[in-house]
Amino acid sequence: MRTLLRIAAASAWNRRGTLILTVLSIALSVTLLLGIERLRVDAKESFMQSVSGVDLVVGARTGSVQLMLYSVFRMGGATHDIGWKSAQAVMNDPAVKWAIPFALGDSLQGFPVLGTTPDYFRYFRYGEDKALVLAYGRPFTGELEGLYEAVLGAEVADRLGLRAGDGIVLAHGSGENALSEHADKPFRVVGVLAPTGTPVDRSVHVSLAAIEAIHLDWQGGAPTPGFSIPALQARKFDLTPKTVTAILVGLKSRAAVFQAQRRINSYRDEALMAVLPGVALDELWEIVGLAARALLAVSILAAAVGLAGLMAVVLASLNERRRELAILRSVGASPRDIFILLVAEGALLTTLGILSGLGLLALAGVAAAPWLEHYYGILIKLWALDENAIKLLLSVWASGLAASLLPGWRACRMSLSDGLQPRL
Amino acid sequence: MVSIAAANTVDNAYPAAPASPQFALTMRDMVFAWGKASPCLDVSAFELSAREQLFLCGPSGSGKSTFLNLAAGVLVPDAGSLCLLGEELGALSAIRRDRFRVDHVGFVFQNFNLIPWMSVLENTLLPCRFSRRRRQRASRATSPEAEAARLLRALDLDANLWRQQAMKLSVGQQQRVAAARALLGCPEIIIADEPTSSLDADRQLIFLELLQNECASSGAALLFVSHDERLAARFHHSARLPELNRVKSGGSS
Repeated sequence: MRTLLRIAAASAWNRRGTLILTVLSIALSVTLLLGIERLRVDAKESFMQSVSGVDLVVGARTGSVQLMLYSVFRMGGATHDIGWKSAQAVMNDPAVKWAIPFALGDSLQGFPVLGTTPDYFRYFRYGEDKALVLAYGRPFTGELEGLYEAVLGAEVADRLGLRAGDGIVLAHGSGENALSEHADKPFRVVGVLAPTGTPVDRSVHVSLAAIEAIHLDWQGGAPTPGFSIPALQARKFDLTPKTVTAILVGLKSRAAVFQAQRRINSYRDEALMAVLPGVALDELWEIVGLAARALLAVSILAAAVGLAGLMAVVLASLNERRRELAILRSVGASPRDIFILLVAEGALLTTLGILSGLGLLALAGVAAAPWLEHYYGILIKLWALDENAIKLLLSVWASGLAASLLPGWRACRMSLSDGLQPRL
Repeated sequence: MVSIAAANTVDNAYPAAPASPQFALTMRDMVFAWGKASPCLDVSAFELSAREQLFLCGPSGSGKSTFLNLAAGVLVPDAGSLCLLGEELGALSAIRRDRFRVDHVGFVFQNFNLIPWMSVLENTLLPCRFSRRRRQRASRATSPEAEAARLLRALDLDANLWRQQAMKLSVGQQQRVAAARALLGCPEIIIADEPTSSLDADRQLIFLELLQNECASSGAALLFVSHDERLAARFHHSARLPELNRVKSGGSS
């Protein structure tokens, strides 16, 4: 057996040119397969950690997925807001430790504007309990002095080329089709957040009072004709928000979450809804994750192509090895030996392919990890071969072995019909 | 013609020939046909005694390859008897025949059949890799490697060639490596199939002499098959396949 393996290895070494290509194609398939699987797992994890430490998300009664979409991902708009009175009732609930109210609806060149309180910077968490960090500048004060102050997410600042001190004008409405601008009440950028890889990067943060101020002279989504309140004058008005879009709630005790949820859901004065973000994110991933699953299917196909290549190479080399195999027969190798020789080669190539695939994956990971984390917030765990990945690897290996059974069988038929001399 | 020794004992687990069978190879009323075609070989009697060196002349088309494949147990006769060292080959399973062949038969081919990328020494040692009997017999004096070296030297191959890849050698050198490989481990019978056809006239004679000497000193019988009748003069015994074969007409190979 050891002799056979030595001969198999030496023979393979002799044909290393072709075989290296085969190993490479298996390696690339493995890299692709595991890379995409890794990315899928990590993307899901990052997705699930778009918010962390939030026990409940409260909004007007709607679908939970919808509520997550606009409160966490700041996509689309809320159909209904919550009245400030109800919002305060939620925020003052005895079980609540902290609460971050949101008002959405305005935008800055397509980026959503989030009216909130300074608590946002204190309590908001993402990833594995990471707090927001300012790349530079400071948070808005939330007081009248700094009424028109804005803090930008990393991507907003980057894409629009804005820095602390720059002036910006918000537009009414969300997305690209926002029409009228709040040109009379320009804002000043006071800080820019460090990248998080979450929707925070795409948000413009201002105070709730500022949202109230820019809409003082508006009615039904448009400026009231013939009536305007200058920016400085606005401070004299009552800037207590009338409505908010959603509230992120952190509880004193997680154990109280279902009680608190029930209490909010059955709030008398207004139809409110509280959802557990984890559950809702799971639902949302069912939709978003479809693309990731399709990608995995494609990479499984790629692996199949790689293995078909292995089979093709080994089969194609049979003719050129016909003589070699017949010689081995003539010096005493049995058909079984020939079969083992071919299958050992297949196993050797698959093993080498898998190992170099893992190597390539590690290299790609090292190269891409900072970039992935910075731009997509996906934390790649390089050496984490989870159960799924190991299953994938084992099935690649088994398929590689299976793919070499056919050449092995053919070779041993061939060597029998050739007798001791190949008919060339 | 003496009947084949019936007293031959056969070790079931390890089909080994008795210490000194009288015949290396015998055929009696042996008939072979490819598939359902009419027989192409029908040999009433053929004998190769132990230690005998026989020249078998087989022009192309005389069924030479079929004859050799039968003698080696690759093919099995349809009727009659074929004994290698007293062992009825047709009675053995394919696996046992394979085993028996590698243990007792050495081959030299027209195109040497060395594995091109292996070194000369590795090529020579191949039979010892697959046959425990050949390995044991090669180790009787020293080790298989030393025995291989002795044979290569006896066949006039320079020691500095031994580590070279077989394909780097000249035709004449390759054929001598093939002979050393066939002789290693003292198989009882050497079958040489046109071993000199690729060599030029001078080298043919040199090679033949080396081969004959080594067979004689190792005590192996030599079945030397060639279409070149001039070589017959170098042997004490010779036979012609067309005369042995009762099927006339130039059948297929």
